[in-house]
Amino acid sequence: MALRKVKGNLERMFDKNLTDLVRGIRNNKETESKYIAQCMEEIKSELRQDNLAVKANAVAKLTYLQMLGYDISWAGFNIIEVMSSPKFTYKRIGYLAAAQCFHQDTEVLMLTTNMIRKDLNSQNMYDSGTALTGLACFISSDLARDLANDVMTLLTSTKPYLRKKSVLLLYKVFLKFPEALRPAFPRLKEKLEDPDPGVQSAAVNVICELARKNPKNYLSLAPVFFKLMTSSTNNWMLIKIIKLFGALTPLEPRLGKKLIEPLTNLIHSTSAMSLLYECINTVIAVLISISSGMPNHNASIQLCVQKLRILIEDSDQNLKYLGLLAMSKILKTHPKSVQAHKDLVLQCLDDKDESIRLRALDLLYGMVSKKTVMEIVRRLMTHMDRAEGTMYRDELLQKIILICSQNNFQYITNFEWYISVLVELCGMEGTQHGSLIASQLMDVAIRVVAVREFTVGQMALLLENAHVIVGPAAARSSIAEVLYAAAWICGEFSNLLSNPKASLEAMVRGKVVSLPGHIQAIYIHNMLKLYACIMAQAEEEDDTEMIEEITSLLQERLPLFVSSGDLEVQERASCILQLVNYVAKCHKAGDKVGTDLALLMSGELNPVAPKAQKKVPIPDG
Amino acid sequence: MMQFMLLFSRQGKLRLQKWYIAHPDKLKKKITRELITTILSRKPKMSSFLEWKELKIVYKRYASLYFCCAIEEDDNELLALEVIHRYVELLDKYFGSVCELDIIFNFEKAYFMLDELMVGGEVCETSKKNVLKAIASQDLLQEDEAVEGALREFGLY
Repeated sequence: MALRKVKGNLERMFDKNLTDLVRGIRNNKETESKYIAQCMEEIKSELRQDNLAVKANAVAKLTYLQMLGYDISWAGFNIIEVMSSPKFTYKRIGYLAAAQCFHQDTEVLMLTTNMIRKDLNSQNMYDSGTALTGLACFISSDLARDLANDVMTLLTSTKPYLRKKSVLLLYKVFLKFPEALRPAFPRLKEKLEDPDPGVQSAAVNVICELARKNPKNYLSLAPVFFKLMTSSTNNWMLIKIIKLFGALTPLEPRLGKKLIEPLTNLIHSTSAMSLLYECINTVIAVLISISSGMPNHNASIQLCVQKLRILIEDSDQNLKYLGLLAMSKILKTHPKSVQAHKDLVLQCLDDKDESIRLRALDLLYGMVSKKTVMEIVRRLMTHMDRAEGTMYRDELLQKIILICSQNNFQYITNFEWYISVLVELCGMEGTQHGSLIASQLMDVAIRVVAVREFTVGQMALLLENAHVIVGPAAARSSIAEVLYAAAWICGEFSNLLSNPKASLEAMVRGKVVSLPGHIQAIYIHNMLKLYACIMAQAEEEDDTEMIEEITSLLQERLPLFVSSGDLEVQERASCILQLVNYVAKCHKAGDKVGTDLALLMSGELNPVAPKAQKKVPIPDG
Repeated sequence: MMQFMLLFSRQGKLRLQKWYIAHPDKLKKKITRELITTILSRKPKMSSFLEWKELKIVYKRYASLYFCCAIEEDDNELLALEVIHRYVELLDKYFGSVCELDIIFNFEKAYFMLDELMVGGEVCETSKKNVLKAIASQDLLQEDEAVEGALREFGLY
């Protein structure tokens, strides 16, 4: 027996402990996985020993390996063995391993119930504490149901250390086993008046979390929390209480009115940024929820905006970010108060931090007015010039369009200006928002008749300069989509073109075949429209030279498209080629077909509302 | 409530992971990988907050270690930063000018410290003194057991 023990001790002398393992891994960087595989084998053999100290050492090593990404769930049973050790040292290691790798579906979890119960009720405070902390990480619905009472008993422990932990654990218990909430709640409420401020704070924490999910049930506690708020100096607790009130005020406007004064006082007096931020956020939430017409209303908003301005002006990036975030909330209900700080927000567009720039952009979207839209867009476009080659530039582009098009172009007074802006945006290589620009161009062209001629002129220019737009960077972007719009607009409103023949020539140019199929298809169709338009005019003037020129132009160029790989392009090109050939035949026979051709294209296309389809009655049958 | 806290080095090596919501291993790995990549790609002057899926991430670099935690939409970001700072202060006091190596070789102690500061993702003890006192008492408990164990081995207990 003694010999076995000595032999065992000798073997154990060579067991790696945790430090050895960590050092070993660091010293074997090139052969790490091989080394770890070897260590795993050693661990497995150690776990087969009877000795709990050895097992605990093995489990500690496993916990480290788990952090490196290795699966240790196979050792579940061993972990439980170590958890059940009477020695605190080993128990601690077991619970740590459990917290790291057990979860709701871990099968061995069901073996732990009695052991955990024993630990919870242990005479040793730290055994109990370890169990409470570990349980908070891996508690399952079964464990919650079975251990709820034991946890509740600890609420009345003589040691505040345990009262604190058990209060916090209760939240997890409620999450996994909601039926425990009703019987436990009165006991939890008592803890709000616990002599130990830490326990009080823990109770506030838990009730705040519960109230956020279900504010109605906790409205009755408002007076208690009010008293706590006005008497406490513990910032951690104050923040939680104030947040709780933020969740309660939508349900009880009178509460909101009572809160404005103490919150405003806190805003004035506190030096803790986290508390200030929480107060401002809650004031905003309160003022959004209570109806306006309150005398203090404006003053409080002004105070918040003022304090937020200080945050945004601070050199600390975090405060800037949060200031902008809170401003966005105020913007929704009190846009005028925020608009006064337009200059500050525009300044933030220059910030090195992209997340701050994006926040500022978001704010700008809501700060626009008829008077300011042009200036803001101008500033944004300057930024775009500077932000070449980044995702941010594309964000700016999208924002510019969103700002201008919001609410049916509510803020645009000069549509010619807007069209020029859109055309300028077409010059932005590498954008992913080509279709957005295209749809805007079409929208304005169709709906704003007053500037249609200007628009058509610009689109003709775009067509002629297509090779500039579809440059080398085009493959990675969707900028070619604008040509879709240009072709369509020129085709549909060809009567406004100053030189339809030039536009037709621009459309049949060779480079067009390298455009995406759907764009080519539009080109072809609109070639026909232009052809018809020019034809009608030419026949009236008996300009046979023109007729021959455009007919042979199409006859020459369309075959290129007929042999396209894209089916749609092929089909349309063949159709139109046949039509043109037929027209040529008619002209040879001396017939005039101009007016008939034009009839094909007559009728204005109007934009249709998205819900219009529903209004069409379903036919019988 | 805090959903998890991760500590990792500038090379992306994980030094500590505390999860207050029990996800299966595969999901934890995926989240960790994605988040580490995202944070390591941020420039030094950027703010400590970012939005990630439905969570808010709060992170701060202390020397060679990134401390990163995930909080829920309603939580206060500045408060989370203070929790991180409090944790760093505690580690610093305990290890005496803590460095990354301390956490590598004593990772279980780092976990134990965190467990005194937070339970279930909520702050448990706001007093630095109390946290350190509890840790010291538990260390003492371990030492006593070790001494006792050694004495037993030699038949002297």
